[in-house]
Amino acid sequence: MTASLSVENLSVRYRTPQGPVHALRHVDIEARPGEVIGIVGESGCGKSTLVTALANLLPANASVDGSIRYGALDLTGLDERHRRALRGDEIALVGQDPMTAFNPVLTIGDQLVDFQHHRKHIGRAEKKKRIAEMLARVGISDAERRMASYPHELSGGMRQRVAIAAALLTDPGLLIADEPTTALDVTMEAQIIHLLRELRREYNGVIIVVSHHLGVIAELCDRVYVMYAGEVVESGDVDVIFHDARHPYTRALLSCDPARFHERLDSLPTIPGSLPNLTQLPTGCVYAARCAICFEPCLAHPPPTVHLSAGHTVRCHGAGA
Amino acid sequence: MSPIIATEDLSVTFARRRLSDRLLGLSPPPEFNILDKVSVALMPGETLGLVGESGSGKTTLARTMLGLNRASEGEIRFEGRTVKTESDFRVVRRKSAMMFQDPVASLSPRQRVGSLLTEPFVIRGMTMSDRKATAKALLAQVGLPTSFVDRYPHELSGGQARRIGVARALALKPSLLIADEPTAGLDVSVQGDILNLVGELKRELGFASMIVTHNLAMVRHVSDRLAIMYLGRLVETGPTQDVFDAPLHPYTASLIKSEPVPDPRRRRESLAIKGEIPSVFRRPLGCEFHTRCPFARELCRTVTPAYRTLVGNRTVRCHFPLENRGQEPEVLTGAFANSRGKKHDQVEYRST
Repeated sequence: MTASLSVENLSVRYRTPQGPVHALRHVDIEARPGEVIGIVGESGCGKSTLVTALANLLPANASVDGSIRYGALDLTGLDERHRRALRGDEIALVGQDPMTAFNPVLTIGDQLVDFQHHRKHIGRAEKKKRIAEMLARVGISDAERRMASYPHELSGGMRQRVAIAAALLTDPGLLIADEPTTALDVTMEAQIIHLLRELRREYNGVIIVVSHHLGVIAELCDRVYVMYAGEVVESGDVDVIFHDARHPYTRALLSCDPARFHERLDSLPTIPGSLPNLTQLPTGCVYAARCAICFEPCLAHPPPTVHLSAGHTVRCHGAGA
Repeated sequence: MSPIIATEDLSVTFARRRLSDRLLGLSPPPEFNILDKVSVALMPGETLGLVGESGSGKTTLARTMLGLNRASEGEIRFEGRTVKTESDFRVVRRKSAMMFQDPVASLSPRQRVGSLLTEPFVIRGMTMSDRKATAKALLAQVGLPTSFVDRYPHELSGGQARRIGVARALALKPSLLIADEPTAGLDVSVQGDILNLVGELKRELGFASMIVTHNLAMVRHVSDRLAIMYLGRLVETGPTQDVFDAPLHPYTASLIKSEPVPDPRRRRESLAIKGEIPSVFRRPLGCEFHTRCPFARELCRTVTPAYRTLVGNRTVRCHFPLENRGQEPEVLTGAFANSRGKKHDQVEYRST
């Protein structure tokens, strides 16, 4: 199945002994089949909560408002049985650490067979054949030998390739890659980026790439959502975000990336201040305390979502001016 | 001026002991070169960036320089004196400091920040007039509120834990700082913070530093000189800007090209480097990079390149450094000329 994903006004709160933590607030995300969507932000911006919400894996102390529509389904309203049916069939997740994604005491081949448990109509031999084909597609040449290996016998880059193969084996309509290259060296990172780009040519579903690495987002994505403290502060085409960003946070984040400067800098740019406390949110804009152009309304009222052009939205009081 | 610390042909070998060999009482276990004849020198006040992929031996080199691993061959000199015995290393360690990779894991979870900060003094048997005052002064130096003395490590953010790591490393005013992946796991906005802090303290205290990392985008802004490692050997060294502007070793060039560019208009269409770093247990014959090198020729597959010093304080270990690409070396014009572009199907490995 290929279907659009539409997240509307999604808010997630965690109940904790210290009071509710407002981890996600009023998040809107639109993704059409064939698109690669980037979610970028720093620690604590709500990336992981968003991923777990999309994968229907939120813990029991989370309460959800708003909707996550995938085709005709609303994922937030499903019971546990239907959620299970979707995970690992329609929705697949590639995690950050390819070592912990696999069971250390089973061979790769056995685990990849198990990943296809939803396909009851095909036999084990047929499943093995699909695995061999899929491993070849992700650039693993000696598939037969690899299927007999244990996870620890593969390098990090190889394991991440297997994790991607495992995700694709289920033919998901929604593929979520959560920091897919963070645990890898630059040369492996470049290879995994290259692989994901090759794979998307034949893949018609939605791909969501979550990363804190701006270079990875720029290389892979069609559209980008920038998150800060649980909100989407800016979204738009990748070119607009990297070349015509309007939110002060997006601009600050871009200017902090040392990869943008080729001449040696005596001191690296930073964003002074720290994230707001998610149990006691400020009344105004969440970024106001660190913002260079903060003015009066920023402290008093939450900013409106301003639509600047087709698909480019920004949540900032200063954006209309 | 003589270097603070220098290594000369430093090698580290580990034996791979298999249980079966031991039970059967077989001949001594095979040994593997984790570091192979590495020579680096660090001048006072200088910052050296030690760069390479996982498994290239950069952490082993850093640890060996401070005596945390034993060298099997070669020499380490600290402030001009040869360091050999454990008591020599104790002197080295008193004057140098190490920032470890994982900032939270390197702090004991059951000690408060105050006692973590004064631990270096206690270990070295140095007297403090007032423990708490010393800790507070250190906190102020790294830009943290003095109220942090009573906190536990789990109450700190990644960036704050990193700052405590800096404070601990610099507590005894070392003349050498070795930082192992000082920014791994940090957000870009915080990464700059930590590096700026180390930079400021360096100007103030004047120590030399070695930054071990695989983050090229970061290291180009904080190091004066670069040393690139591959499979336990140095492949290139030189002034940072020169190495970035015109890398001599194909490995350095492909590392620089592999770094993702934060600009969707400059996406890379082709891969700069294919394949993976080989294992030290099966080191390829000849130049160890030839299995992945886009320019590898017959000579590279059979003969290990020697270390060469070039103008501008640069060294490279390559038969055909990129700068001299135009000039064909003599040996190539003859028998080997046809073998260029041959697939690297048959890699030969060093027998062990």
